[in-house]
Amino acid sequence: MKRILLMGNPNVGKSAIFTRLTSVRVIVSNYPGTTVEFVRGSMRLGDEKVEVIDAPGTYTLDPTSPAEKVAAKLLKESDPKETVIVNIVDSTNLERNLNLTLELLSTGFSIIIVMNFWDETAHKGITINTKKLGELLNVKVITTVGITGKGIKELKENLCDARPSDFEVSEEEKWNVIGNIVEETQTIEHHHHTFLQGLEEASTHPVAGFPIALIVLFISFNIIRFIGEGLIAWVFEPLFTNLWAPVLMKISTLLNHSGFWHNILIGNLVEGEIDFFQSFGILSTGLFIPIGAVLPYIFSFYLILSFLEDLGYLPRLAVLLDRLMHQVGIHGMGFIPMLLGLGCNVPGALATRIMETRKERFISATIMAIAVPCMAQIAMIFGLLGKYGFPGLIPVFGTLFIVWLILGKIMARFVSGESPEIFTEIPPYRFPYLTSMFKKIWMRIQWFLKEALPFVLIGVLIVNLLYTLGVIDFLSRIFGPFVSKILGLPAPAIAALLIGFLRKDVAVGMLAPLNLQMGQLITASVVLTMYFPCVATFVVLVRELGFWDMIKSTIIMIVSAFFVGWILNLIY
Amino acid sequence: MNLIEARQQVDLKVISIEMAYRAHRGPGHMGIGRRGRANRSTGHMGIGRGWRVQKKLEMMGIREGAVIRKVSQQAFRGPIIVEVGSMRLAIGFFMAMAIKVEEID
Repeated sequence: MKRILLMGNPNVGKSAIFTRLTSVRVIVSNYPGTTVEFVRGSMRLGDEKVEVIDAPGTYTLDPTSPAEKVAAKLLKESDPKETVIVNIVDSTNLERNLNLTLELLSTGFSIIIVMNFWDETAHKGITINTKKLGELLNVKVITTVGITGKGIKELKENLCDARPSDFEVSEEEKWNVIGNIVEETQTIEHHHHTFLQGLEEASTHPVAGFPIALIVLFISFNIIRFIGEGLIAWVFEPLFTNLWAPVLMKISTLLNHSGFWHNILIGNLVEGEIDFFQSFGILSTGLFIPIGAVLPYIFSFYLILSFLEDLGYLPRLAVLLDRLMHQVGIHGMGFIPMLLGLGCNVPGALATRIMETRKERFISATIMAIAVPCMAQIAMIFGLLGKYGFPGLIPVFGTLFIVWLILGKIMARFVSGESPEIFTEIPPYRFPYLTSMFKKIWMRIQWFLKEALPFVLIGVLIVNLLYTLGVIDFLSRIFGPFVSKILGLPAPAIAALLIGFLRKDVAVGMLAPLNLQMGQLITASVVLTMYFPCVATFVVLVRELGFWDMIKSTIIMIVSAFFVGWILNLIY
Repeated sequence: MNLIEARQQVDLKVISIEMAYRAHRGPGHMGIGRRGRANRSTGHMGIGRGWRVQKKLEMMGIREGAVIRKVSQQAFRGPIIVEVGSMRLAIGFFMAMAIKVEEID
């Protein structure tokens, strides 16, 4: 055996079991479609090293969305003699899961069935005779609780003994056969509603659901700001000003307060002191932007997002927002890429794979890239415009929302293709398992530090080099009149637009030394969000949408950004 | 009676799923004066699409003879939540219209 393929319906806990088998950490959440691309890991089985693959969830081997296509393709590319399929089944939904199980049995692969969420069957009054199930299907059946690791040991012990099953069924007979299997192996007792189930009813209630959603979003927003601002004011700013600034001043003295290296490392001193927003050296602003200004918000945002994900609130919000999302030509689940995009546009772009049609994916990727600023950028906008309070912030986010809606409406009308209706499973609420939730938050923070920190430092380096080489002066002279006429911004703002290709948070940071008015800051923040995605998002979007669709998407972005910027300039 | 007209919180038996489900009467097609552009905004889905929807519904346990329960229905032709066994599904308004059901006493 060389390969283990984890396959199953969406949201049955494949990723949790994958993490248990390989100790490679992957994101686990409580909504269908968390994994949109396969993840590879490996485990030791006796003396052998075996490859383990976590496939995206699929209801059938006849795929309907790109994420499901990945799963079907994986199976096609595997060698039946060297591969064991671990079919993970949601024990509380045996009947629905068996469809894929029967399809997998007929492929001739060696297979082992894992009944996950075994602990939940008891709460729901479900009893399943796994021995009988194994006999009927002629495969080994194991029960697990993926998130706590119960049953994983038994699964490992039985992996080597997995055999192909001789179970066969025709397409016409399939549902009858499934019905019979369920009848013979499962009994359900009726039971009383629990507290969580009461909450389930309320949160998708056509009337009560909306105030509940507003309260949830309001509380979330305030916690994010409270923790983010708190960490900055009480931890990170004191650390930078009291500990790091004196070190930098020593270096500055060593470098005689001027010269090429001083400019690159420390930047400009403001009234003889280091200003972490304005100095713009690699060691001053370059470190302060990602760690001092952005990281606290990344942490607080992902804390809230991870909690809501694991609880299972997101699909319910998708149901409530379905009508709004149809205004822009996508159904309710399309709000998940938007929400993930608020953290970082890259996972947002990847999440568009849960949408079925090309039209939906094009619209959701384009309006996400245009109108959804990532948390790094939002943190910097808060940093610059926060002092004006709501009069400074609302025009930025209000404008972006209006742009999102109008562009979406236009695209819903003119992009050809289908916009199917929502059709999704609503998982039960599950109290977040804190250990795995904090692991997930830590993973996302690590990802930010690994992916974003180098880009920010490189961005600041490039800014300094371009200034030193006179490139920015040159560009300001050529494009300056255009920028000031259309957007009402001073000529050096062109440098921010240039760096925005690399990192949006650095670009917003570059506005700080320009002494802009509130109106100019608003215009610049909106234009920087809209005009082009950052390079990381761009690369992912080219892969997801294809070259030509990305060109179209890019044209829409640039044209609408300057149009909206021009209108804002007229207003302010 | 289809799933839209059915009462909530009672056991319903699925009689049939209309194959000619056409989502060109989809959510883009609401209100007055939008008839002309509905087709373009949501696209033709026609019979081929209907097949696919029927298959999807079947996969999730909504097929002839199945017993389901309507849990809630959003306003303004929003999605419907149904309970199939112990699982809950959100399905679009027009998909729900294609599902014919009868009450079980």
